[in-house]
Amino acid sequence: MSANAKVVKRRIKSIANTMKITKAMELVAASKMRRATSAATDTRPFAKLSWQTITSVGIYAPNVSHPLLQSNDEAEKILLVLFTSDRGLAGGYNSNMVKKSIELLRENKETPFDLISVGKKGDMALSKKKVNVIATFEGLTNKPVFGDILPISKLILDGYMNGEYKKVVLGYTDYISGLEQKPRLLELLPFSTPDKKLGNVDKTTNGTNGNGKTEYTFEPNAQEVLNRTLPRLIETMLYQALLESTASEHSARMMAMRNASDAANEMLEELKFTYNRIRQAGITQEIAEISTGKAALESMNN
Amino acid sequence: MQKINLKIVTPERTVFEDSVDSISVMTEIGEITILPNHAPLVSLLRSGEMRLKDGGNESLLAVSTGLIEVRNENSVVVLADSAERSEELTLEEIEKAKDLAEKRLQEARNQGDVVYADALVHLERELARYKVARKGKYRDVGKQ
Repeated sequence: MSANAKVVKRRIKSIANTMKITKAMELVAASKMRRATSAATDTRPFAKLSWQTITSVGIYAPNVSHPLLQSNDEAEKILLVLFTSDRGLAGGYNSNMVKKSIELLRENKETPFDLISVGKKGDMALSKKKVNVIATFEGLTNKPVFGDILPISKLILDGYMNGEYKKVVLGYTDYISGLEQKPRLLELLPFSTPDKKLGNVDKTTNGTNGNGKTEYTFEPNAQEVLNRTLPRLIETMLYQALLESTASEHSARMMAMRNASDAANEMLEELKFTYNRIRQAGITQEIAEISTGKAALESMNN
Repeated sequence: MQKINLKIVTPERTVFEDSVDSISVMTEIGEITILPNHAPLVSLLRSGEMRLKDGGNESLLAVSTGLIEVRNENSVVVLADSAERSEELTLEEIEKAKDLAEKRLQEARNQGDVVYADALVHLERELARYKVARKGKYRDVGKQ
């Protein structure tokens, strides 16, 4: 067998090994995705209903105030909370999100940015830019629980209420379907723009009868209700963003791994074809050599 | 007869979604019962048991802090940090959790107000679960 055939054979082996890995990763991502997507869709009603309640407080008790509803006009900085994954090999998942946030940085060239990164990749990509990374959270996307986001929300709330930030922006990837995920930027604070959407959240209030005549009673009072629900809403939205991102990450990884496996399969087929051709050529050549050898011997004997 | 469309949701899942005749629940300023055609209301919840009546059936839930919103057209929404039906609770586990919460409260006594308040809220929630689980259990015994 020629040296060429050996090279091809080695290559076939290495690709087959890689394919085993991508197949396994695909299966792992698929099972994680199933859990993550159901978690994301299970949380949507809570996020949606919380929004509705907050909006009705805003409509029916317009004169209550809360630090989270006020804009910090004197503040300069913008806080970006970026959801990415800890590991790569997830197709365009991380790069799309990072691209989107770099766009935001470009649009606000003069503004200093602080970054809270959930997932290593966002930190790695953006620390090269002119941003000040104040915190990185790792290992959240494996199996997110509600308690995970409490330290993040505390950082955000403290920062905002101390008047450090004029805006808090969430960068997360919305899970639309197994095939489609969309990176999104959402202005979390100030709360003045309730029409931005998170997940399938919309702002329809079922509490009104259309002409807004219903009067709500608040117990103990509207202020107290707001004090309790607003921080809760921030937490819920963060949690929802985390879940959506997790679901997106795993489906993106699953798709990427499936593509890789498919590509490996194609490559293997081609390589096997080449290998067989080389082998065939070798055999033909050997036969030719033997028969010429034999012919030479016969002519010598005659 | 009119019924109330009740929805109980927590960040993790939708716990309950059905129509009932009445809802009794602990709020910050006392226990309230909501019947059909209640006026719109938003009230803060305390950890405690929640009783739902539907025909002759009564079901119990352990609900932790959150809020209840009564909307027009007999729709009621409960947003709670956690909520469990009595069938889902097992007494042994909760007794353990309750003991643990009591211990935590003891330890938290000299660790500052925030920790103490946290532990207290935690214990309150476990107590509510305990109460609901016990009631649920005895009711099952009666049925057999």
